[in-house]
Amino acid sequence: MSTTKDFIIAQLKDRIAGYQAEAKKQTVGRVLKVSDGIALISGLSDAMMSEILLFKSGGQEIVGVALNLEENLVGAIILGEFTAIKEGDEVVCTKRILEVPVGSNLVGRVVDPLGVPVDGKGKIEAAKFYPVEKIAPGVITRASVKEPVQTGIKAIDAMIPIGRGQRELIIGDRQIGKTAIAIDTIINQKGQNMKCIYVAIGQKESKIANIVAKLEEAGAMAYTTIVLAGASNSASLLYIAPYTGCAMAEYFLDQGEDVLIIYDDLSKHAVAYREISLLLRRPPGREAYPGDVFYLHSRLLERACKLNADFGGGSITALPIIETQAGDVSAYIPTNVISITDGQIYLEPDLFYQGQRPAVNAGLSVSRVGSSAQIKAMKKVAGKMRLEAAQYRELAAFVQFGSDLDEDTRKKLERGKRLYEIFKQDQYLPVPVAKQVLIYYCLINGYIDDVPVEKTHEFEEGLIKYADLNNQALTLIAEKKELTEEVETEIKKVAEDYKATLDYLIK
Amino acid sequence: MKISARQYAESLAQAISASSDADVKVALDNFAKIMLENRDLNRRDEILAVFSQIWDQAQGELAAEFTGARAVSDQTKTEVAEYLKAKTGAKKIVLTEKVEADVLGGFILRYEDKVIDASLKRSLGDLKNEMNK
Repeated sequence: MSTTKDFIIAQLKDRIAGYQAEAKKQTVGRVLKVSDGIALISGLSDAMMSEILLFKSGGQEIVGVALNLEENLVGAIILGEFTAIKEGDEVVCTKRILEVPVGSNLVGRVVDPLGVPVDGKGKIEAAKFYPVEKIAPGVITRASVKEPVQTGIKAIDAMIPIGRGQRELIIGDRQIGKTAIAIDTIINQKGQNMKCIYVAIGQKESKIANIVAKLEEAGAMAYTTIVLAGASNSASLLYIAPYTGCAMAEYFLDQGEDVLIIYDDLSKHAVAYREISLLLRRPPGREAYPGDVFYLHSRLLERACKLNADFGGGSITALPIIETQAGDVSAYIPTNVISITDGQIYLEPDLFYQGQRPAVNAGLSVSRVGSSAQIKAMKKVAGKMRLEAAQYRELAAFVQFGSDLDEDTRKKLERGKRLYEIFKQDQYLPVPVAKQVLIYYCLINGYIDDVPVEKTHEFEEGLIKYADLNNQALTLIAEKKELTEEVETEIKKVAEDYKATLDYLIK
Repeated sequence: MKISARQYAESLAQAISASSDADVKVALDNFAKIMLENRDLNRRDEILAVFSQIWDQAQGELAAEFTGARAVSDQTKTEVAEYLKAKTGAKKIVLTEKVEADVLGGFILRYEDKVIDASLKRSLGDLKNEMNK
């Protein structure tokens, strides 16, 4: 008993001995005005840009960030409960730029934009603190994008390949499967040596709870962090959320790892920033967004990168999401983000309601990195697929006039129909790349031409199951990653064998 | 163009510095006229506040507030004033004293937008934080 007591006393003495009382000189200011998460402060002559300010209000300390430094005023956003702050309250500088905890302890957790856990799983011991705002890596440190990110979505991996370090925009109207693509991509990163960060900006918390449950079910939370700025959070928190996510990604980047980060969605981020800017009385421009709304997104997305081997060789792949209003891609924010990113996945309402899900529009979707972000086997089978898919849509529209068709056109149409059937895919069921290669190989080499269109899906499932059980084709593709003769013979064999067991083929 | 309170105050300080009493009167009359012309008379309080700041600064005057748990001796006050003079380069220190039992011991010194907090209250608070870590 007494040893424990002595131990405690010794510890206490140690602590007290380690503590040095010293007078500190601090710069203080007084709150002149608070409104809607914004405070105007007098004094604070030493305040730095995006420095953390502490509001001492009613016995508690509330965190704020200096955003406007004027001649004799400081405009700050308040990250927290701003109703407690009163006019005349004292504000002190902290000499620290806004920073968040980062590290591998954050993996598998749900945190708010300040890095505070909100999943009820206890405190997070952070390895380090990283500044929220950081200049993007320069030219010298970068390498070209060449390794693929396998999304597991057949239409995307074939037509719009995404590379590690790329920024690919997912754009479309509400309720059309934008988040679904992002979540499927996260699920498919299992065993791909990739950390994932999902930043929810202004999303319903019920939706996030759903997503977390789905990711946990799929075992994807083992490598995923979720940064949550919900719809009920203030605009200030929404504004810093993507930068926080990026800082957390940069930690893994510095360890030489590959990271996938999803910003869901940047339209709400722009709206939050517009709110802050207008409250800070910055002059409004087009659609009332401030003049620097382009920089807002460009500085964020520039931080996605592929570093060269001298700098660790890590990468940050960014998948920003933009929600359009009634399919209007020429609005201000969509055009901005389209111009920043290395391509976009455009989801079309018409396709979605026709039952073509994911509703990827082959004509308007592009990836500027292109086939260098595909494995060789996929490159070979999917080389012209985007063009074919786009041509099929046009032809299909044309054929509705009911004119006579020549043999060539008819063949193209039939092929196209089956291609679009293959593109259809259920949610939460990403397909590994080897299986994708197998089915595409069968398509372009005519093995599916005699399968009825409505049976395509059944055929695909059956073939994959059959190949899994009876044949080496899938393991060979996954191993070799290219279509050598040996692999091709194996694929041909499995396709023929499987077809021999079917009774629904068109004779 | 709107003229800011600071601009008003700075120009007034410039106009009347180093001039005789009669000149000051003329300058003040002109200043009032300009304010009337610009319909800025209702902002006079704001302008005067900034002016007194600028004036104090130009004269090397510095307002400071000294808060202790008990009243302190004149000698301490002079020492504090001397310290501030050395630190800020001001020529004259206008020290106001405040007694707050809350401070417990030590003192809190405020000038401009700076606070030097050497109070026992803060030390104990810091110690508490340290122990909680």
